[in-house]
Formats: sequence, C-alpha cells, structure tokens
Amino acid sequence: MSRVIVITSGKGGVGKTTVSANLALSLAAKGKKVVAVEGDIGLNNLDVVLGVEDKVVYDAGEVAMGKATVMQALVPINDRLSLFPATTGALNIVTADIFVDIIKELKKSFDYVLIDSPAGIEDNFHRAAMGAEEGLLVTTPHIPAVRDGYKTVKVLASYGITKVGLVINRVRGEYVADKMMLSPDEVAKVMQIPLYGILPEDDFVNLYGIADVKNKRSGIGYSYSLLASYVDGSDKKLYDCVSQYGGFIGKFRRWLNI
Amino acid sequence: MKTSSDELVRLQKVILGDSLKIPNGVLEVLKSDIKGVLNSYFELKEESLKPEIEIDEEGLYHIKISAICTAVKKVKAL
Repeated sequence: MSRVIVITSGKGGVGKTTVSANLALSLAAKGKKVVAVEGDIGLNNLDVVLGVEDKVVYDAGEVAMGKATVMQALVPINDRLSLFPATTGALNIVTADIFVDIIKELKKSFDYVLIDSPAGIEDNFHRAAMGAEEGLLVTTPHIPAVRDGYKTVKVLASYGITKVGLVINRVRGEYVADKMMLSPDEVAKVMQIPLYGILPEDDFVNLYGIADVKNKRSGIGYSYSLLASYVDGSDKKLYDCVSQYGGFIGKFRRWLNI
Repeated sequence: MKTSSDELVRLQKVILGDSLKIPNGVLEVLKSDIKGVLNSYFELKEESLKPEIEIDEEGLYHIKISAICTAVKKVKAL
C-alpha cells in the first residue's frame, strides 16, 4: 500500500529539502519505489539537491494545464526513484485540488510519495498538506526551530494528519555529550511526538546536499539508512550520535575536535 | 555559558507560552502580583519566588508557586 508523507518544518533552513532528498534515496536503496514531489512551488530546490535541474522537461504547471501527464513529468533519478518537479511557473496554476489529484495519480505507481513542503504555514504549505496522509517534522535542536515545529504539528492535525514523526537534523554529538546542546530525546519529549530519526551535522551534506546512503561507515549515510528503516517500519533503531564522544577516547576526540 | 538544561527550561517556557496563548510577560506580571501578596505575610528571600504553569494531556493547567522565606511577619488576626 502506498504511503503519502509530507516532509515539513516550521522554520526554514533546517534541512527539509535535504532530508526529503536523502530519505527518498535511502528508501529507494532499500528497494522501495519512491517519488519525491516538489511541494515548494515557486521556491523549488529538490531538483537541484537531487542533481536533475537540467533534466526537467514538464512540471506540475504543464500537468495542471493538460499539456503533459503526471507520468510524463516524472524525472528519473535511478531505477526506483523519480522526481515530480514543480517550477516557478506552476505557482499560480497548481491549486490544492489539482495537487491532490496529482498525488492520487502518483500513489498508483509508487510505494512512497514524499512531498517536500515549504517552510511556514502559508498557502504553499496548505497545498502540500492537503495531499498528504502522514507527516515528518524536521527540526534542528534549537529553540526557534523546535518552537515553530511544534506549531506546525498542531496545524498538521487540523488537516487530519495525526501520524507525525520527528526528525532532528544537524545534531552535534560532541555538544550533546558536553550538555551544551538539547538532546534529541529532550526535544522529542517537549514536542510530544515520536522520534523517527537523528541526523548528525555533516560537512559533506552541507557542501553537496546528498549523503552516501549506501555507505554504512558514513555516519550521515548510516543515519539516513536508519531513518528510512524507521519510516518503513522494518527497524526502530535510532542513530547514536553521542556514544562516540563518551569515555576517555571520546573526550580525546572532543579535545581534538574530530 | 548556557547549558542544555538552561535551553530545555527556555524551550519548555516558550512552548508553554504558545500553548497557553498568553504573552511571555504574563508570568512576570503574575509573579509581581503574587510577590505583593506574599510579602504581606512573609519575608521573602530575593528571587526565590517561582510561579510555574504546566498543561497536562487533558488540557488542564497546573499552577505551582514556590518561594523561600526567611521569616514570618507578624500579622494581626481578627
């Protein structure tokens, strides 16, 4: 059965699009058929993060005007992952109802429909939320992001989306170990939603957007793999970002800042 | 330097304020009013008065007030 998940946040800049892209890649790497849907129409970047911005031929706007079918607009990323793009031109053409119809069509062909929602709770968010059945709330462990995320969870509930998982991005394990940064458990407890994933801060992702999700030796890659398993329900393990900074070796590592 | 415990308290206050839909300053006003009342009866220790409002899963508010006093003032009883 197909699942439609909106990936959202309250505050912008917490890594929502990066999480959408990497979760899509991770689920695809686990053998699932996935479509990543650009829900941030007008400020689209999912195509860029997935590296296919020059391969977009049709988008949600052309589909809405009847110039292309939903399947024609898909941009293949690999054997199991596709992007459904929406560029700036689609902004005033794709209504919430049309967007819902597009999602219904995509559900027929994919195991997962991941909608990358815009930040905030304005019109674009309305469109993205209308098409979804579940939510993933992305936040960083910082008060402004958590606060806005908390509000967003309440707004999602008003759309009937009550199954919402929490993803905490850009966690610095050494700071959590030193009790300088809120721990993922503390954030989840305050937000009162289940924690689905912990993603460590990673320079490679900061630079290139995409993690090596197949490489288990890569902390960020492994954490995305765990997140995909959690979402998929095949494993409920969370990434441990702290233990490597515990004990004598951990202290030495923190001292060396590695 | 702020610790994660300080941040957690701040976060809880911010979320609580949003949930209660009351401005952040209300707790300070409440604190000031309660201080005025308690000061009539007790010698309150500076900065010891702490009003806390929590909201439970049923949406009920739990108001807790804690304070430390150094002495009880002599009050004329009727």
